Amino acid sequence: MAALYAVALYVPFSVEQRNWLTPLNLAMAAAVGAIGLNILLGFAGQLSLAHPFFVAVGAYGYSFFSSGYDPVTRGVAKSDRLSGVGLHPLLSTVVVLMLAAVLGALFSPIAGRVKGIYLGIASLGLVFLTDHLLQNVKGVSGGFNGRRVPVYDVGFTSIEKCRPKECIVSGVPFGQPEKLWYLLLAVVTLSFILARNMMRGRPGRALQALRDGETPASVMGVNLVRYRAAAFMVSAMFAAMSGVMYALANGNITPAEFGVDTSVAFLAMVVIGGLGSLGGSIVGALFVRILPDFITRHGEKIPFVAAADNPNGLKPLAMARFIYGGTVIVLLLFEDGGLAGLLRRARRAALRVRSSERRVVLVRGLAGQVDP
Amino acid sequence: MTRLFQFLVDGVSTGAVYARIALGYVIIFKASEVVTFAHGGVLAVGGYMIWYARDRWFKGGGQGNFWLAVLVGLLVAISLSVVVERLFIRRMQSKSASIIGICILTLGLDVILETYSNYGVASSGKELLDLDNPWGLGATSVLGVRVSDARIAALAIGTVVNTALFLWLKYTDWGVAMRATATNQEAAPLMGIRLGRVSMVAWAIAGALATIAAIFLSAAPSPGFDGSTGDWRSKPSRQQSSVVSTHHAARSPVG
Repeated sequence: MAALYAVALYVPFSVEQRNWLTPLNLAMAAAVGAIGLNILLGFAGQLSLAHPFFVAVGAYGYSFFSSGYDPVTRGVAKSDRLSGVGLHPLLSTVVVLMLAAVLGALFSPIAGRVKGIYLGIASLGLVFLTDHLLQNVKGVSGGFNGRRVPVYDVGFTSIEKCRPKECIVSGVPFGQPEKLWYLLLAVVTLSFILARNMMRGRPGRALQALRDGETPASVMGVNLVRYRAAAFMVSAMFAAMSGVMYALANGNITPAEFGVDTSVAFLAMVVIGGLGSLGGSIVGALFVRILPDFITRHGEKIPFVAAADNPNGLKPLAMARFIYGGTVIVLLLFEDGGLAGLLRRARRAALRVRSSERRVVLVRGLAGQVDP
Repeated sequence: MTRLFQFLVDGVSTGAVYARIALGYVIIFKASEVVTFAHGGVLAVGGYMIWYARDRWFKGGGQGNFWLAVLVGLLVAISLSVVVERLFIRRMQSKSASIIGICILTLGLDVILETYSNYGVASSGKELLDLDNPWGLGATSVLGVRVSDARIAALAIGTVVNTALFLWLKYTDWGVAMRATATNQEAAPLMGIRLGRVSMVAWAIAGALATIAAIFLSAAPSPGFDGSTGDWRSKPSRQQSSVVSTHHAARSPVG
C-alpha cells in the first residue's frame, strides 16, 4: 500500500504518466464513490443501485452552489441561463454533503426496511428519477447539455491555471490536472482513513453483524432499521463527495453520465476490488475507470479492438465492458474477495503459516465462504 | 372518441409487450428466487439474432422467412438462458451464495450481453436494424380509426402467447410442476418435482418471452432494432412492480 502511495505522489513528475492524469483524476473521484458503495454492499450487505443519484447530487449540487451567476451568455436567452448561488467552494462542498445526507435520510424509510435485493430494485427507481430530473430542471442542471463546473479556486489549494514560468516544480509545469491530482489524492486518502476507522469500530461491526444474519444481530442489540438506513446515508455522502470530485475533474457535467451504466460500473469496481476491502475499492475503481483509456492507447496489441475510425471491431469502451463484466462473473464464481481476496490467498500461500494478526474484518464472500 | 380508441389500442398493445417481459422476470424469480438483471441482455441478444438470421440467411421472401428468423432467435435465446442457468446460477446456488451475489452476477452478464448486442448493431453499420416483419409500417382502419399494423400484431400475437402460456401452466404436467414450485419451493421436491428441471424450463420460457417481446419492441414506436432496445430504460419499472407485487401476493406466475 505504501509503495502504491509513493508512486501516486510521484505521478505528475513523470512525463510518461502525465498523459494519464485526466483519467486518473476521474478514477480518484470514482474511488471515493466505490468506498462508499463498499460500506453499503461489502459491510452491510445491501445492494444499492442508486449510487449515481447521489453522485449527481454531489456534482450538480456543487456546480449549483458554487458558481456565481453563470455567465454562459453569448446569444443565450436570459431564461436559459443557469442559476447559481455563489458560495465558497469548500462551503458548497459541505452543503452538498449535507444535502446528500438529507436525501439519503429521506429515502431511509425504504432503505431501512427493505432488505437486500429488493433495495436494489427500489433504488433503481432513484436512478431513473435522476435522469428525468436532470433533463427537466433546466435552470439548475442545464438540461441535456449539462453545465460547466466552476474551477476550484481556494487560496493555496487553488487549481487555477497558472501562467507558464510561474509554477514550475522541479522542471514540471504544474497546470490544472497536476494540482487537481494532489487535491483529489488528499481527498481519497481522507475518505479511506475515515471509512476504515468507521468500519473498524462499532458501526462497522454492527453492519457486518446485520449482513451476516439479521436475527443474531438483532439479538445482540443491533437496531436493524437504524443501521441499514445509516449505512445508506453514509454511502450517499461518499457518493456525493465523489460527485464533487468528478465535477472538478471533468469540468463539465451532463445527465448522461449518471445513468444505470454508472451504477453497474460502481458495482463492478466494488466487486472487483473486493467486498469488505476498502483499499480494494480504490484498486477496483482504478481498474474500471482506466481500462477504456488503456485499451484505447494500446489498442493495436489487443485482439478484436479496432482503431478509432474502424467500424469493424470493438470500440475500446465495449471491450472494457466485456472485460469488467466478465471479470465480475469470474470473480463471483471463483474468488470472492475480489483482488483483495486473491492477494490474501497469495500472501498466505507464500507465508505458509497462519497469520498471527488478528483480523477484525471478516469478509464473508458473496458465495458464502468466510474468509478471515 | 376515435382518439380514445387509438390510445387504448396503443396502450394495451404496448402494455402487453411489457407484460411479457415482466412475466419473464417473474417466472425466473419464482422458479429460482433470483432477480435476473440479465433479462434485458437476453432480450437484446435474442432480437439481434433475429435480425442477423433475417439479414444473413433468410433474406427477402415473405412471411415464411421472417418466421424462420424468429425461430432462430428463439432458439438462441432459449439456449442462452439455459446455459446461463446451468453454468452460472446453479453453480452459485450450490455454493449457497447469497442472493445478492447471484444478482450481481446477472448484472455482469447483462453488461456482457448488451455490449455484445450493441457491438452487433454497430458493426452492421446501421443505426436501426430493420427486422423486416410482415406487418411493416402499414396501418389499417379499424372501426374508423387508423391503427398501425404493428400494434395489432403485437396485441394479437401477445394474446395468443399469453393465453398459451396460461393454458400450459394450468393444464399440463409441467405447468403444474412450475406452479407448485412457485408456491412452495421446499415442498415441491417432496412431491417428486425436480427443481433443476423446473428451473431450467423457467429460464428457457423467460428467454423465449423476451425474444418475442423484442420483436414487438422493435416494431413500434420506432421501427427497427437499435442499441437501446434491450436497454434498462423501460424494463425495470415493469420489473419492479411485477416482482414486488408477486412476492407479496405469493402467487403463481399466473398472478
